[in-house]
Amino acid sequence: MLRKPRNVVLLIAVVCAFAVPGHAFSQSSHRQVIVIEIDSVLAADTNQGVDPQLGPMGTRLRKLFHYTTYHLVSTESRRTEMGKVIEFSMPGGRILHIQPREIDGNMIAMEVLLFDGEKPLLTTDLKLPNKGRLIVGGPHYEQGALIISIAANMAPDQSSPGAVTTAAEAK
Amino acid sequence: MADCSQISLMLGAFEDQELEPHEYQEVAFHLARCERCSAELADYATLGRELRTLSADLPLDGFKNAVMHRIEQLPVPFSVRIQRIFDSVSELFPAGLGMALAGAIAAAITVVVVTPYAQVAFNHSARVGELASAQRALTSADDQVAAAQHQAAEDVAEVEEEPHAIISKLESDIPSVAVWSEPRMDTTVIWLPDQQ
Repeated sequence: MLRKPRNVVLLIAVVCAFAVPGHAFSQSSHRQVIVIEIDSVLAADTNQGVDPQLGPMGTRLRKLFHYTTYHLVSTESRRTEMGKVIEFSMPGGRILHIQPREIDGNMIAMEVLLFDGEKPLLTTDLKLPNKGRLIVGGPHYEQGALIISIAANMAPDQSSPGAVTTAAEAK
Repeated sequence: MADCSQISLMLGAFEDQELEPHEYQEVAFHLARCERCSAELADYATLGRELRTLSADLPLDGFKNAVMHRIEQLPVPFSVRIQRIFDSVSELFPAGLGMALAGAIAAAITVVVVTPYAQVAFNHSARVGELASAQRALTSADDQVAAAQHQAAEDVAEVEEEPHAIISKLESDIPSVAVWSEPRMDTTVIWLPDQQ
């Protein structure tokens, strides 16, 4: 046991010296806000060209795939924190869950789940570079395939998480 | 011992030294004791000397030609004539063809081998100029290749330095899920083939 008051003071000082920076680090890590941008695109071979609303992503999709039609179905951007799951309703009754988990350098670790109703289509854990993009495509939608573009960006902690933009056209 | 009649038959040969040694010795022994045979031998010797002085060389000019003419005038069998014709033809044509072939080969060698050297010799200065310009062009091309290689290495390094998405877990009931990355577009693709 501690018999001298001076030792008690020293112990408290040591505990505080390690506890305060750790708390601050923990706070900053938890407060890291991630902006998730979701674009849903209908890709089909109906010779209708690229939807101008897609902007640069239209060019990107034409380089990645060989469809003749790319039509933007919906777009949504939301902010979230580490560990929190955000849910996106996708065209065709699909549901997308994204849970950012940690920051590793310039990489954002996250879990992505895609459901078709209640049936899981895809479960993946990945690290995406900041401002990088993950495209999940292939599920049948209308006369073509559904392409989901997922972008994750680290954002400064400016406001509480939540939806910041509205869906363009959610079906 | 031979008598004079037998010795007399051998005196001519004795004079011409055509006798065998024992005959010669017998005649010489007889002549030493017989004056009549010695006189007869002397007559032979005198006669031989006189004949040699009287003999004249026959003219041989044209003798060879006359003989050859007489030979040519002799009748030649038909088979021999045909054989001679074939021999002359076989001797003539191979020799001519051989010469023609040798001449053609020599001409070909001259055209193929000698002509480029002659061109090089005549155009030596021009060739040197062309070589110099070609060397300069080659040096320039080398510089361009080095620059291109440097740029390519920088591009590769840039691509390699770009962070890629790292997928640690991927689960799906859909078979043949395709995953690929496009570093230049900062994009990773997970493609779920349509099952409908």
